[in-house]
Amino acid sequence: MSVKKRTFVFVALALLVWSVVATGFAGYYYSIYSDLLVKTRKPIIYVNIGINYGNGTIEWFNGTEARAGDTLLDIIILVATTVNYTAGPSGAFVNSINGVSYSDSYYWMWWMWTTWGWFEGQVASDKYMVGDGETLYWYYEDTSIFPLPKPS
Amino acid sequence: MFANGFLSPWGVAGMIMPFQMAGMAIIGVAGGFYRRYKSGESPGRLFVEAAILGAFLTLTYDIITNSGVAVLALTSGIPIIPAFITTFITGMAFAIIHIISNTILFGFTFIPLSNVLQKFGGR
Repeated sequence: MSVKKRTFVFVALALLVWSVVATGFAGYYYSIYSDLLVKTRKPIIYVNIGINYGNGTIEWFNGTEARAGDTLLDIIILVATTVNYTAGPSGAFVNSINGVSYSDSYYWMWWMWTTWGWFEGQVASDKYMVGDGETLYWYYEDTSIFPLPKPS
Repeated sequence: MFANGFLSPWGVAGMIMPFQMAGMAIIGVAGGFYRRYKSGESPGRLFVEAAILGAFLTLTYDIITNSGVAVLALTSGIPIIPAFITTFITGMAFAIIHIISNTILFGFTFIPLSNVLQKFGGR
C-alpha cells in the first residue's frame, strides 16, 4: 500500500470515529438535558412506588410526594421503614428493603413502567432521577432466571 | 474472551458473551492484518496508526456489544427502534471513556508490546 493511500485510509478512519463519537456525544447530552428539563419542571412531583417482596406480598405507595431531583433511592428511603445500601463507584447497591436482604441469586431489582410495559432499570437507583407521574417497582427476584421475570 | 466472560470482575457476561467474542475476533483479525503493514514504518507513524486503529476497533467493539444488549432488550418485549436507541444512549458515556482510553493505550503500548512479542515469537 502506498504511503498516500495508507495516510488516506487512516485519516478516513479517524474522521469516521470522530464523527460517530461526536454524534453520539451530542445525542447523549441532548437526551440527558431533555430528561432533566422535563423532570425539574415542577418543584414537587408525585410518583407511584411498588415493592414486591418475592413472597406474594406487594406494597404500593401511589402518589408519593417527592422533590424534583430526587432519585429512586431517595424515594425508597422515603417510603420504606428501613433501607440498607452500599455506595460504590457505579452507584448504590441496595442490600435490603424492610429487612429483606439479598441472598443467593435473589436481589433487589428495579423496574419502570413505560408505554411498552415494564422496563428493567439500567442504572443504579441513586443514579436515576425520578420524574413526575412515573411508576417504579422494586422487585426481590431470582436473578439467575433469564430473561429476568417482569413484575406481573 | 470466553474465559473473560466468566472471570471478569464486572461479573459473568451472560447472554452478550457471543457479541463480545465476535467483537474481539474482529480485533484479532485486524491485528493480524495490520502486522503485515507495520514493518519499515517510523515509530511516530506507527504510534498514530495504532492509536487510530485502537479508536476504530473499540468503536466497532462497542457497537457490536451494545447491539447485543439491544437484542436482549428485544426479548423483554421492547420494540426494535426504542431498544436500540435506549441501549446506545445509555451506553454512550461508557463508550466514550472506552474509546478515549483505548486510543491512548493502543498508541503507547503498540510498539513496546509488538517488540516484546517479536522477541518471544521470533517473527
